[in-house]
Amino acid sequence: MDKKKKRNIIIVVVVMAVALLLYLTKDTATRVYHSMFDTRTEIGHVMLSELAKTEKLTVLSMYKEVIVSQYKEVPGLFYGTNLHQIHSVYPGRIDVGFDLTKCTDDWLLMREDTAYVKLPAVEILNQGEWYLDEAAHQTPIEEGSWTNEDYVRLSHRANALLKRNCELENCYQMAEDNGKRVVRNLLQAMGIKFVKVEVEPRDSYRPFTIDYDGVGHKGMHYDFYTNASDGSRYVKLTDGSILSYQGDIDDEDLYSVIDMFIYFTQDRTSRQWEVSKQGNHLIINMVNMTLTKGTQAADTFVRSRKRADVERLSAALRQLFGGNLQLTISEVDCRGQQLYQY
Amino acid sequence: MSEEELLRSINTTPMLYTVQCVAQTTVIERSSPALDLFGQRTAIIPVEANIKAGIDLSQLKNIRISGKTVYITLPDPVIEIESTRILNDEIVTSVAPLRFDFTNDELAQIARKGTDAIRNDLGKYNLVVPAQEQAELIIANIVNRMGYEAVFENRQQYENRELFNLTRP
Repeated sequence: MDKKKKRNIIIVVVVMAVALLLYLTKDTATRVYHSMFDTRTEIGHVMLSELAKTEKLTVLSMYKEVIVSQYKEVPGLFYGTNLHQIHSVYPGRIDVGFDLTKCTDDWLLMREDTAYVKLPAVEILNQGEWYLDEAAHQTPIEEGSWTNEDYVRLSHRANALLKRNCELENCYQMAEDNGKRVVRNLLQAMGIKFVKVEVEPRDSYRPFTIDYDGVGHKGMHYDFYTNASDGSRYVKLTDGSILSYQGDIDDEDLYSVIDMFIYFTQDRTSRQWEVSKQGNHLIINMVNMTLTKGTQAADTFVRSRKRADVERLSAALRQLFGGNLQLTISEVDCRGQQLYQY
Repeated sequence: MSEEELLRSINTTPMLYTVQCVAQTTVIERSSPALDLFGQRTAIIPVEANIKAGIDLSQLKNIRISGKTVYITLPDPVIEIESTRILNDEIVTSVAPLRFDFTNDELAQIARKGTDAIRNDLGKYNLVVPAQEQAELIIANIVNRMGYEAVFENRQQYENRELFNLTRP
């Protein structure tokens, strides 16, 4: 009997101790009990910027999720290299439509019972060229050590990738078609019988669309690598081709160049590219592993085939990057010596 | 899952966004007292949300025309968060040697509390009246160009409680 009592008292004391531990603190403001194992979160005042008035007619919103990955080669403790990896999922949204402040003075003209509407070119209307719901992103896989700078780079890449994916899905054309329909419906609801809508064409667009399969394209998958010891950055494709990049090339440009790399190097005579950008000057070195300075005839034969590819490539790049792009495409051997400049 | 949570990946509803602003706040996360024996973990994370408000043009159905005057009742304005941003460059963390560093996932979870706070308060930011006024200006401009005169009827007055129904994810 005595033993049982003792045991009961011990149980009660333990339960009370645990309860005390769990519910020790009470938030006086919100009257919520906190467990000792909870973290404390304080949210500061919400500051609002000045209200800006806009006239954005959005006719297409695309919600998307992109997965971005990064691998890092870190020197091992004793020998070899360790591979660290991070994979994040970023949701985001792109709004495409018309900025009505860019309309010309005569954008809506009435002649008898017909309205003639001239709309400006479709464009992405997001504020600050930022499309991600970054606070809602998830990083299910994160191995090794990563710094804040890596996270910044990752989110910027996700931002660029989201835009590129929407462009590859032909968002501008869809928005243009939908915009014409919207304006026609709106004016007809206000009693106009006939409406003719014209949309100004965009000055830059993607020169091709790729069958987008959600992972890469043309069945090609690619991964981003950095080397922690020498700081070099490169992209590895599934077939072993490598595209290394340096300089101030930004993520959007980088994805464009990767698209080009996959699109224009089908026969893979050069499996390695080195891309760098200084200001407006884009330099592409195709590293030729097989062909060193050989016979004149062989070189001429290969290059005549390649020249057509390079011309298509440079035309496409100029279309994508705009008119003031300086472009240098050359062929180098594996020691970095220039073989030929196109 | 409720109906509102089912977002279509492509939304072709025409929206006329008339005002926008940026909301910023800071989230401070402190580690739990129970584990502070091993040292503290603190993170200060500034977050930003781009907010915009406008009207849904597909709901613009109450239009009456008599003579040279068009009577229009504008639909309820909509307030939404367009994008959110963690100001990664300004994050400050302090982690004791015995504790694990903050992971990217954890930082995002903390930042989400800040954007949720912004999202819950969307109705309080006084965006509705400017959004309505600006929308009326734009539509009146269009109607004038067509040679008519626009008259806006039944402009809604909202209380804070009702405003929460106007916000969209």
